[in-house]
Amino acid sequence: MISVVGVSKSLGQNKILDDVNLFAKEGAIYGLLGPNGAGKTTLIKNMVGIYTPDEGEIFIDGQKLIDGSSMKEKIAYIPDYQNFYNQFKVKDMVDFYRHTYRDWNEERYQKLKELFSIQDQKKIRQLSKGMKTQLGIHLNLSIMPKVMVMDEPTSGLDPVIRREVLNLIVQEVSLNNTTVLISTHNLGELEQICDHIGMMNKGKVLLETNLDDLKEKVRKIQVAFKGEIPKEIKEHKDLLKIENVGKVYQMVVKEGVEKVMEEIKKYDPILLETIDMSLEEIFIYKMGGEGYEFGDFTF
Amino acid sequence: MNLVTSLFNKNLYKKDIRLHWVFGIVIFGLLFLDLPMSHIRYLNEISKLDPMSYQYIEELAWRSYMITDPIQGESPIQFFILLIFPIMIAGFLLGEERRTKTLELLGVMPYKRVQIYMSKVLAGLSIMIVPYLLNFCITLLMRYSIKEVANLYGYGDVVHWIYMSIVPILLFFSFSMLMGMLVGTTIAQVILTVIFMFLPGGLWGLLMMNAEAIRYTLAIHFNDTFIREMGDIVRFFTLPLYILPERTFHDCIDKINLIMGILVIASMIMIFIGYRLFLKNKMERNGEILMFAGLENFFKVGVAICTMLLFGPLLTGILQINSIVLLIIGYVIGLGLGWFIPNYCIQVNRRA
Repeated sequence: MISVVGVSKSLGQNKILDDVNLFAKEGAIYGLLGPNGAGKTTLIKNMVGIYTPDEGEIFIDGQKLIDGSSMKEKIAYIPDYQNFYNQFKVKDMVDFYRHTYRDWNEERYQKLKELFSIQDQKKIRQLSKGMKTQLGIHLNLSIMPKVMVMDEPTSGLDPVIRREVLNLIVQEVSLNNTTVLISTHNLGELEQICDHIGMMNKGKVLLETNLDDLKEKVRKIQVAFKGEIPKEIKEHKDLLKIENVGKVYQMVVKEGVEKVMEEIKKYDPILLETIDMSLEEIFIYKMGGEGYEFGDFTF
Repeated sequence: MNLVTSLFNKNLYKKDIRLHWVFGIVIFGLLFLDLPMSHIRYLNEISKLDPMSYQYIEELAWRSYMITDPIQGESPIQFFILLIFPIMIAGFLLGEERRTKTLELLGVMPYKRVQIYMSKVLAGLSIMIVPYLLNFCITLLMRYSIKEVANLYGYGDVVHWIYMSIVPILLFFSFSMLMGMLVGTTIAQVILTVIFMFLPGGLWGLLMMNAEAIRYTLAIHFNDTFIREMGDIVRFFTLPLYILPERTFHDCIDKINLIMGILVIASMIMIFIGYRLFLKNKMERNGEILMFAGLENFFKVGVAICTMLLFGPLLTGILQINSIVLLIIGYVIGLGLGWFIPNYCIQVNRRA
């Protein structure tokens, strides 16, 4: 379980996190979304103990995260770029992890070697970004974590390994009830595995919800009228976005889709249907509603 | 035992040794060349000569000097080891971990900051002291087994040598670690450590230079005895002078053991202050020139004062014109440069 309570953090003169609250329950796969510069990595670095919050507190499994906290034994952190000791060989790095974490599972490590086939004798400096990420995932899964915090974990991985990694994460959660928090821009991937999401922008968590509830709530309505679209519908307060191709309008409803449908029906539309939205579409429209959009840019 | 295990961590210690053992090998090699190897050369050279010849006596005197000089701690190789390696090793132990962001990796792991810090201190000292101890043992062995060498020095001399070598190592290394807690990049750490090691003596020298410049420029006589007497005190705070303590403090040679004891205590205090500062270090400032934002103005003012004191006499000295206007111009240029350059360095480093 991860609980972030009122965390604020400034880097230099810039306030990166502003009173952030976040809660990921035990056994959840929590997707942390947000545009570049939203503060996701800073939040993650606070969660794993790299940074110390200026204000607020972070609890992992109910324990406050402080220097030397025993809870750190249970936290796996996979950053977007793994920083290992370049002078070390892979086996030295493995040895370092093996002697650092008391719950190191040798059996699991050996089993995962079948998937992550990185030679023990290779120097860390000879590994590509993707190979370092693989090694990081391999090591962090072998420490038997209770909490996994991942910042762009699949960047640099080839599609086959990426799929396997996502599969491993799901297995880890179902086997050990591990809490996983993933920040990624690959929303298609995230949608496949996460059950909760949090959306961040400008240092704040704007939305925190169950993914199924969100997809139920935010939907697209496709509608066409004989004449012009009624003004009441076009300017409806629950619409996130409205666009049209000819007479066919597509409108993204932020909540209460049934209520909006009822109102549309009053104007006798010739076409009316709802369309499910992908997480990526929801993200784009939600962020658009928060002033993060570029319109249709053309050269 | 609990206190020890909570202060040190074997895994972290082994990691630091594994990363930096090569420095130990270099130190061992240099010391070996300077001590046991010179014994072997000595034995080779004198074995070729007729013991009754004049050349033998000359050669004996010269070779004896070659052996006793390093043992008295007056060899350039040992000056080099004492001054360069503690600074360099501290730079690598801290600065490189910050640069490569592996310090963040340690921050995530279940280690206390005190363990990270103390393991580095212990690893750094081991890397430097073990080569000394090994060469100490080899030298003792040679002293014991070779008659010709036994004529040149006693066991006590070798014990004195290691004692007079290890104390400065401890002093310079603990100072370098302390500086490493204030500075966020490897290069800045090394440069600022060297500057601050020489600073008390350097500042005193600058004051002397300025006293001279003012005396000539304004043609006034004032009593600079106070500044000169300050030199006697300042030398105790100018760390590089402890490379040759018996020469620098010859007037208080009877108290040299007391001085060495104070240096050990001072080193312990610096290690403790370094630890307290490490607790306050913020990871997000890794890579910045200064680890504490509050130090920036102090740093800029300090550099500005030093460059001001340097440029004033420098300008009148170079142009060989004793003019108060020129002296003031020198001060203003020095002040401006001393403020601008560190400010520029901090900004450029931050943008990078």
